[in-house]
Amino acid sequence: MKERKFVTKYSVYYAWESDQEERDLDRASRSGLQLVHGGCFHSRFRRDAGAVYRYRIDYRRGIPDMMDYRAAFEAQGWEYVNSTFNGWHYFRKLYDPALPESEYEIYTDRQSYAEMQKRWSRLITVLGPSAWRSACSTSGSAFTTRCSTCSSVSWTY
Amino acid sequence: MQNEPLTESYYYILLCLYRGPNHGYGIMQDTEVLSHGHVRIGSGTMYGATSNMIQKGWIREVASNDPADRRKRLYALTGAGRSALEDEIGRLHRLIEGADKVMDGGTAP
Repeated sequence: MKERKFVTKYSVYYAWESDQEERDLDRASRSGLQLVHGGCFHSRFRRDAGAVYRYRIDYRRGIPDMMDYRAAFEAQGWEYVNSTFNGWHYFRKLYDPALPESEYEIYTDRQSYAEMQKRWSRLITVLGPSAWRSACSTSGSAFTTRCSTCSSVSWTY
Repeated sequence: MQNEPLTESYYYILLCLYRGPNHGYGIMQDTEVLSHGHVRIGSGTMYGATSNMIQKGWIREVASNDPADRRKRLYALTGAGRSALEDEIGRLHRLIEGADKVMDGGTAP
């Protein structure tokens, strides 16, 4: 049977788990699944064992000029993958084992990384303390996904 | 109140614009050279820092003369940016002066 060229995976990450999602995408890339469209609930991958990428996710809303934003990343060898409606942006770079890991960081100091986290955590505050409490206290039964966090909606299961 | 210390990224971005306009990639390369490879400015950090400094009025965008270069944002230092950089250099000098006094065993209290 012929293997399908595209694969869809369903996964949900908390807003504060973008590091974990990056590691998962890198692992998928090593195993021959290359992200072609990242999303809040499902992501699309292309089968290609011929390349290994490093994936990085940025969070930023209200970008005045998307082409300028993309150009800032492309200048450093990043390929733009896609953006979600709520401000998460996926980039990838071909992995070269000869280069240091620092080549694959998009945030290179603590302050700017903290600012990025502050940008989405402000939106958790917008949800209000009760949503926050329920998201924290009943882990597993109620959660704030990267998606809901950023669009100010929370799900209860 | 005294200004807050600049982050290394902010410091090097301003420094790399001191002699004239430059674009993000040029700033990143010059920073690696000036810092002997100790400071790298990744794309996310660079985009955030330049956006913030444009808001503060420390740098501004200028049009590129090179038509092939249109797409690249070129940045230039403003008067306020120059003062911010010079204030920071003064602050760093004072830090080192203090250290020198102590380390040399001279007139330190």
